[in-house]
Amino acid sequence: MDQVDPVDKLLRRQIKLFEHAHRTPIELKGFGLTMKREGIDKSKLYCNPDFLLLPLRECPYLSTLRPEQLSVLTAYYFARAYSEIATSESVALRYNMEASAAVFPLYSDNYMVLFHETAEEFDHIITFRNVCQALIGRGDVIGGEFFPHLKAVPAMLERYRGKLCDNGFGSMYLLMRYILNLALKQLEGFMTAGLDEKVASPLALQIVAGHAEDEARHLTTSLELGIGLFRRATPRSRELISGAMRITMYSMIDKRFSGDAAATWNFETGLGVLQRALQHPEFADFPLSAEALRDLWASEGIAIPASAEFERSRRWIAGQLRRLAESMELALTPQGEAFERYLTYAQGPA
Amino acid sequence: MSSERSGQEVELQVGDAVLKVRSGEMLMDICEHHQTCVMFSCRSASCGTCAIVVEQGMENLSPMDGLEAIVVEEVSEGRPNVRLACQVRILGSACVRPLP
Repeated sequence: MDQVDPVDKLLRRQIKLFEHAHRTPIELKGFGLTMKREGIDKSKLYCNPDFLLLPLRECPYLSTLRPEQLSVLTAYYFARAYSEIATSESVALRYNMEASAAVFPLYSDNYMVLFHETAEEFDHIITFRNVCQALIGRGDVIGGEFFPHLKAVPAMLERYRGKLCDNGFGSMYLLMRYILNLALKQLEGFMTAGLDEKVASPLALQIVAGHAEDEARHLTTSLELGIGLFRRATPRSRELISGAMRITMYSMIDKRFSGDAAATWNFETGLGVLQRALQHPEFADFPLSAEALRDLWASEGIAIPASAEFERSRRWIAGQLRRLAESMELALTPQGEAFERYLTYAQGPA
Repeated sequence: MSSERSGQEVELQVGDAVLKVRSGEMLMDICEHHQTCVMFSCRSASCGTCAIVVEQGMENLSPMDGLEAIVVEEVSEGRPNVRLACQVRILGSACVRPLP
């Protein structure tokens, strides 16, 4: 086993934060169970509809949605977001302890930080299972078969198993977790941004706030511990990790920073949610399918509006990616229009 | 937060940017709105990413409490006048910079 110097600064902070969390625990299960009991409250919104990147005002069909229909649409988006987040957390469960055991002495402070995070993930997964049961009537929508893109992380880790030193494996896992985490946190962090509290589901807001607070520590742990291990890895491992992270970051940039909002991952997600929401009884009288709507938008030149919340989330992701690249001393090379836009967001205003 | 000071226009310097803002606003919201250079990961005083040094006007910021104090103690490494932008409300003129 490689010797790892403790990442003292991170550890001291994390341990204090965990002590604080134990004194004032935020268990989310209660919110999930309450939501399961209540089902969809059709007088409320579960996220900011503008975050879905659908032409809700521009399209003649969507602009006349009833409040109840809009509620169902946002509830479906909320359920989709949290089933994806739960799936990602189930990936983290699998590798957290494995990577930890490979790198840190059993029950050391570093080991226990990851152990505590694993325990929290279980609480979240149970909560989100209840959320999905409440909003879409199914709790079993958590797993790689529903979110195939989340299989990429375990696949990459398996591909590099045995080729990386122990510190390198721990680093690769944590940095991949960081990327995954920031993809999900932008979803969580911005989907309720700008939403008037009077029209928002209070339970949805509580779940978002509670989970975001818990998850914040994981993001910091992933980056700082991941970078700490990266610096202690062998040169060959560092080279392999840098290559893998470059590929992952380029892929994320391509999917998030296209100038055409309709070409982004977020739009595809919104459209997928609409497709499922149209199956809800509340939409029984809706005349078109999601695919027909998409064709209509294309033929009528109805643009997909990039909402303010979407723009904020892009700026945030760009800043985080830049931070990762700088921490790893990764040189990213220009890769077309999406990359140029990412740079603009990452650098901020002149 | 002092309500009598809320809503007045005050001058805030963030890094090299000089901004006119309304007192009572959250520093992180101001930074996000003006796309200034303070990075953040959370908004819950947990990650320590948004640490800033208050160069002037500490008395014009909302007081520090709870979780922020824990995180600041660790990220400041003994440097004075460190706060977390996500927890600070601007009550009067101030000058802040991201923690180097």
